Amino acid sequence: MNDKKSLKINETIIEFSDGPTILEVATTAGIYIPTLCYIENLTPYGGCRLCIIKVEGMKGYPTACSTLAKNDMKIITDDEELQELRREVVKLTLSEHPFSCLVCDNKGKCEEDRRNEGKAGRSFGCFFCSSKTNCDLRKITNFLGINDVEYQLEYRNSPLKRKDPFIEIDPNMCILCGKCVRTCNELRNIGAINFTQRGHDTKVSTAFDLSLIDTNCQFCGACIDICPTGAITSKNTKWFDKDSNVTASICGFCSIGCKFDYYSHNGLLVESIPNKTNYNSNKFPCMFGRFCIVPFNNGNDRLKYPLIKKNDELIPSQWDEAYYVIKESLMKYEPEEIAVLASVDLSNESAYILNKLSRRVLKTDNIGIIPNSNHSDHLWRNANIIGVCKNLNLGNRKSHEEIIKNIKGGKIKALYLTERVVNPDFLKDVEFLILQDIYPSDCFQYANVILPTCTFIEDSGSILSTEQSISQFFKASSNVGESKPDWKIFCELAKQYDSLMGEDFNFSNSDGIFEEMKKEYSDNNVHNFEGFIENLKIPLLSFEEKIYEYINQPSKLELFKYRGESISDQVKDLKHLIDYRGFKKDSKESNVPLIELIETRFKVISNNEIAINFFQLVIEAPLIAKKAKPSNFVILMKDEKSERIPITISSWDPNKGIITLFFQEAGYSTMKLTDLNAGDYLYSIVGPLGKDIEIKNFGTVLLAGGCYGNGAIYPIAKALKSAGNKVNVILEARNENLFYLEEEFEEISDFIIYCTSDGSKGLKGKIQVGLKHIFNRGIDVDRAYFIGCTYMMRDASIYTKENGNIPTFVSLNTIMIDGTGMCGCCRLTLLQDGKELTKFACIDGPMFNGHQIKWDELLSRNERFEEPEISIYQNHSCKAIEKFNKGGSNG
Amino acid sequence: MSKTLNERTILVCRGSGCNSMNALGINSTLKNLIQDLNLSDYLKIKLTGCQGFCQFGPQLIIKPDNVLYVKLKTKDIEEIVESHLIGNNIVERLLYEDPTSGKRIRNMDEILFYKEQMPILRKYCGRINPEDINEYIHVGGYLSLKKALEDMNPEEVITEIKNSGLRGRGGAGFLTGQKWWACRNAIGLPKYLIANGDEGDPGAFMDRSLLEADPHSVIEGMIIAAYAIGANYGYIYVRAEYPLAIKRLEIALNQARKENLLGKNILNYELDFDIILKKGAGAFVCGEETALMAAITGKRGMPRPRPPYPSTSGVWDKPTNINNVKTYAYIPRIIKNGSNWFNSIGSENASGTFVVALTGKINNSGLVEVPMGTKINKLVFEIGGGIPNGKKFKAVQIGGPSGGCIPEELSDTKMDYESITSLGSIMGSGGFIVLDEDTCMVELAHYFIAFTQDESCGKCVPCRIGTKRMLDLLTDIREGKANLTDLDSLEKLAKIVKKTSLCGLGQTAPNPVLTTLKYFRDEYEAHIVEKSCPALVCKNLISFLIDKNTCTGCEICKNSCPSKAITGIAKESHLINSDLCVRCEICFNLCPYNSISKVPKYRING
Repeated sequence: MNDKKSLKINETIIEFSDGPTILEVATTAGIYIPTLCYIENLTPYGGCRLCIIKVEGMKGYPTACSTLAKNDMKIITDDEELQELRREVVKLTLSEHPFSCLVCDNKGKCEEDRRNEGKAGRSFGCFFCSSKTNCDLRKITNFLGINDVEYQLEYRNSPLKRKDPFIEIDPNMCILCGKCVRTCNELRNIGAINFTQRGHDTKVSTAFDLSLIDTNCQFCGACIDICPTGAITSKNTKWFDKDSNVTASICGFCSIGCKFDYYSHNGLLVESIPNKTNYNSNKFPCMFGRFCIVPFNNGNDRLKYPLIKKNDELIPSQWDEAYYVIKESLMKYEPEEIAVLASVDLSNESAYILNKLSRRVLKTDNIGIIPNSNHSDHLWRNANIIGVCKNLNLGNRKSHEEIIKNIKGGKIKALYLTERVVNPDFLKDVEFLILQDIYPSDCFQYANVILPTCTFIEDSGSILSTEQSISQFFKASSNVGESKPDWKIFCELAKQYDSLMGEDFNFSNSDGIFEEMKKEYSDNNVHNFEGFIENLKIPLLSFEEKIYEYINQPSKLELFKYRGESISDQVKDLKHLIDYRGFKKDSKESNVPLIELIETRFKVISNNEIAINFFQLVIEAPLIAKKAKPSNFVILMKDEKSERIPITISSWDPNKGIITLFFQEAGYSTMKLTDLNAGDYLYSIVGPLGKDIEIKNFGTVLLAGGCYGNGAIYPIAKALKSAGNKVNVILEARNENLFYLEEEFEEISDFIIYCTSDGSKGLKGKIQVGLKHIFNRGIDVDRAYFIGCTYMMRDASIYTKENGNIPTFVSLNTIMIDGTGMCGCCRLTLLQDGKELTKFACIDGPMFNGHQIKWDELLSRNERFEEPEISIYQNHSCKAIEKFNKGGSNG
Repeated sequence: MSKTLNERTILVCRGSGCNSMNALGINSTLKNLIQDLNLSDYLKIKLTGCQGFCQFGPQLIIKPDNVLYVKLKTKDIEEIVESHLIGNNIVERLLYEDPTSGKRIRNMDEILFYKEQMPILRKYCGRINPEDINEYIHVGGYLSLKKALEDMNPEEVITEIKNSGLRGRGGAGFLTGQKWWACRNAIGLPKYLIANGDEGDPGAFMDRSLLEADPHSVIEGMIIAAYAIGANYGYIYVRAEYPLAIKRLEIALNQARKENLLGKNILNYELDFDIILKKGAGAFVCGEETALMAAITGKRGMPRPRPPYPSTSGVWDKPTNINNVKTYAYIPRIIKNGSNWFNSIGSENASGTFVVALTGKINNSGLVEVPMGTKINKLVFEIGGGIPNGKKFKAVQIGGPSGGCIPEELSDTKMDYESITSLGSIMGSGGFIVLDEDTCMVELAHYFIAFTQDESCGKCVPCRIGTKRMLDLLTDIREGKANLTDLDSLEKLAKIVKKTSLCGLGQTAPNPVLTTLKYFRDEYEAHIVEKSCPALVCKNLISFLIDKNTCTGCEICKNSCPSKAITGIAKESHLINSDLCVRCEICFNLCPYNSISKVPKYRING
């Protein structure tokens, strides 16, 4: 059966053995056949129709993904007819998938502008698709050379689904390739999603269109990782540039050791994606690995500096000082008065070094494992605990009981804890306590020295996994603050403690430790480490089932901890999932209340998504409504911890005391605003802010808005119309579904024109096309006003400069904090008569002369905020740490 | 009295069509009357399945007189009993009237509709009680099975079927014997049989009628196939919208089980075979074999690419033979009479007969069985009795939404697989819709594309989106908004959908568009260039006019107009406001003086 066979693809003869499909044979031979729906190892689907080929003797156009390779086949994969058919099929796909990012006239320029992606927010549009860099549709569009779509466009115009934990769905981006459906059903055997409806209405959905949280969805995220477009995205990480450093490692939350690829951006961990090979070895990565590692690792409250207790206060200190204090204090005790309790989350290497530190340097045999609350085994660590015990040379897993007894009895006076304990009462009897941890805890009050350590993301090493083997993990991000890996802390302490020990603790990385471990175990003829693993009496694989069993029970999810810190305490969405599914299920709202709102004067009258991702927010703010003028803005905060968001006032009604704002979800803060419902209260609104602009009869004016700018420019247009101007309006959006306020604009404008990137409404193209149209009509513009994204305003300003030097005003959308000119965030430079003038958008603006702005500087200043925008999303899950404020918030 | 009374059997048609027109009431009236008159010893009432002449239902046949009474009402029954059954005087007014000669026809065999048919498949339809296995056995049922089991080995059965030249009656026309061989030779056990009764074409009802009238033929055919192929399990897949077919199949299956025709050791031979009745949820695409198998296994009915063909990997990934219910029903006839007999019927390329559901603009709607190779115009004008109201024959849509339109000038074409395919249509399962001069071909194409795009499973891009884009273009043409380049785009797109779609549904969906474009391009162009609909159908392109001279001002139109578009004073001629008119045609249909006419819009505007 396994005789070598051969077939001919185009002009190449390729050998193969029995079994593979033509697509597999071609791919192995390096011949590219486009496909959007093929998934390795799953049943062929044949839905995207892109891998159609010609096979001599077969009628029609078989699909390469489903046709088995046979001896002597003659195959053609890329003649002009096939390419043409593929082009048409892709065009049909694009007629229902917003494609402005693929075929926009401005594509090249746009790519240049947005070289750093920053946040990839909402997926409906040019550079707001979270899948930009790994979009298969984009690759194939380029491969086939498609520049335009002649078919009538028909987007789904379907609301975004943002209410589920971890996962967000933008049905508009779905191309129905069925990859997520097959992954969920065939690979994961869950079946939470499937196709529903039929014909043109076919969509991927859950039974009865329920929220995922109301189905049996396990939130493993496999659907996200297989999605070829930006239809399914991870809430935590959609904001990131995917062109990051990748480290292949494992998930260290439990003993199964699923393989993960970690993505980091300038040293910051941004994404954890399970490696496809997990499924080959029957590992099923879960929500902990897919969604919890990043927020857990990057949590705001992570310990960043060593803390030393001085006069009942924990003071951030240097490592050397901490080591010195530890050494000086421990020296006071006899070795038998010192005990060490080890975390079960230690790597083999760290445990090995801790053993050496304890027995050779501290010269104590009082070593134990930190017990779990109910003294049961640490389930999620059921395999590694065996490795830790072995490395600590612990025969008796219960040795901690003796130690705790002796602490209470006063025999043991100093304790080195490498993780918090659950019942810390006995710690009050400890005279000198060293606590090595990653998050603050109840144990802080008893600690004399606190040492910040690293997670498995920030360290390299190995654990004993349920596969009964050593699983290695690798450093994938920078350390948080000054934190150090456990083994490094142990080594440095040992060297400080006893300089003669230098040789024994001279390790620069965990590899060296592992080498020594292997040697040590065989030298002492105990039995080498691998031999020890092989000879384990318990089959560790049986532990795996137990872990999966727990993962599938909402009530057990809370038990999962890392270094004693409950994962759900650090990951808001996980907490919500557990509460919702476990016992506090509120059938109506699967909405996560972020922080409880307090009642203020600023009541939300309504908050509606009037176009996809464009919200109209109406707020009660009588004083602002009384004083507002065109171009004024407000700064609002959703809650007391919110960012302060500047938003232009679009309309106001002094009689009713209400103001209307338009915003677009473009980042963490605006995402929080989408949660607002009628009857909620905003924490604060400041306004009206900004200089008033001059409103009088200039003659003929031109106003152009793009995206959120359509709402912002409306009051100016209205005021200018009232002042007697001839008003020309250009409204720009990526496609027809994204316009709003059209009727209002039509009412006040003498001439109005629409531009869309894909030509779905009005002119096809960006702002320049609209401007050209206006100018070609011979309209003599006296003044121009532009509000939109920075690129749009820059391009428009350049155009009006070059075409008649028309006075041009733009409204800058910089980051602001106080709105009073103090913080300097909104700083910009104007070039006036050859002189550079420093201005602040909040008090000197927001409207500026578009011809005077130094655009490059403004853009690079905006990019400057990319990092904080990235990190804020992941760090939102702050656990309130007020009670440890003195020590804990040292970051 | 008793001396003049002859023994008679009254066959009351109880197919779905006649049932919907109160055949049940007729049946019970007849039954009560016979009981009341105490004539039960002489007059037997027999329930039958569809007798085929559906246009004229409810109907009954009186044997042995061979008299067919049509379009019956319950009040007619007394007259039939008194005059005919007791008095031996045929009730002339209830007989079928020949549309050309105007003569009432006493012997039903002389009615052209029946005379020109050759019932092989439908031989017992409308003649036996489908709910009684004994009646089937009485006419020789299950003898073929006995013959196969007793005298033939499985290979001989397949060879016989192969030699008969029987081709699949589901539409594609694959050689049945060859299919059976492939499944018999396939590796893997158990093997399955599927009878495809998921008839979904608009206007087609051959399969339903067969299952309602003669379910045992299908069952017998399946048992013979099971013996030949080596299958142990069978499915009959019928759509749930056919409740009567399901009921009668269930009765038939239970009766067959009782007679040991299904189950273990059938008729004491080494043959284990049973049939499960599977109700489909009514998706057109589930007529496609791979989608049907997915539906049987509880999955969403979506097709998959072939190969692998069902014969090697079908339902539950096991070798599966899937045939149309009609194909199975032919098997007992072929085994009984031999392959030579079957081969002698029909044309060169296709042996045997085929059944069509004659519908549309035709006098004799109903089910018709004729030899392969029968010409289209024979079906239309002889058996079908021509076009009603003296209208002109325009075209015929063969094969339902997957088929194509064949124009009047090609109506001399023989009906067989190759001839029909060469004209851009398909034989299909038996849909035959006759179109007259009042049919707009753009509207027709629009109707069928709307149907297929609605019934697409949504799996592959060309079918899901391509048909929608075609529909967009057709809508534009229909509404007079298109330009001539749109016609080229439509044709190009139709060809792409045909070439690139995954399954038969998408591959054939453009046929109505392609054939109408081929034979009636001028009609499309009229919609585009002149913005007019020659057949006066497309609502955006027509107006309604009241003829001043003939309008009497009776106010019927004015009072019935839903959009209040008609004005006028009583006894004076009325006016239609074209802006308000929604073109519902109510006034057009109601006017007692035929004063309202449809006119192309430009006549009003210009």
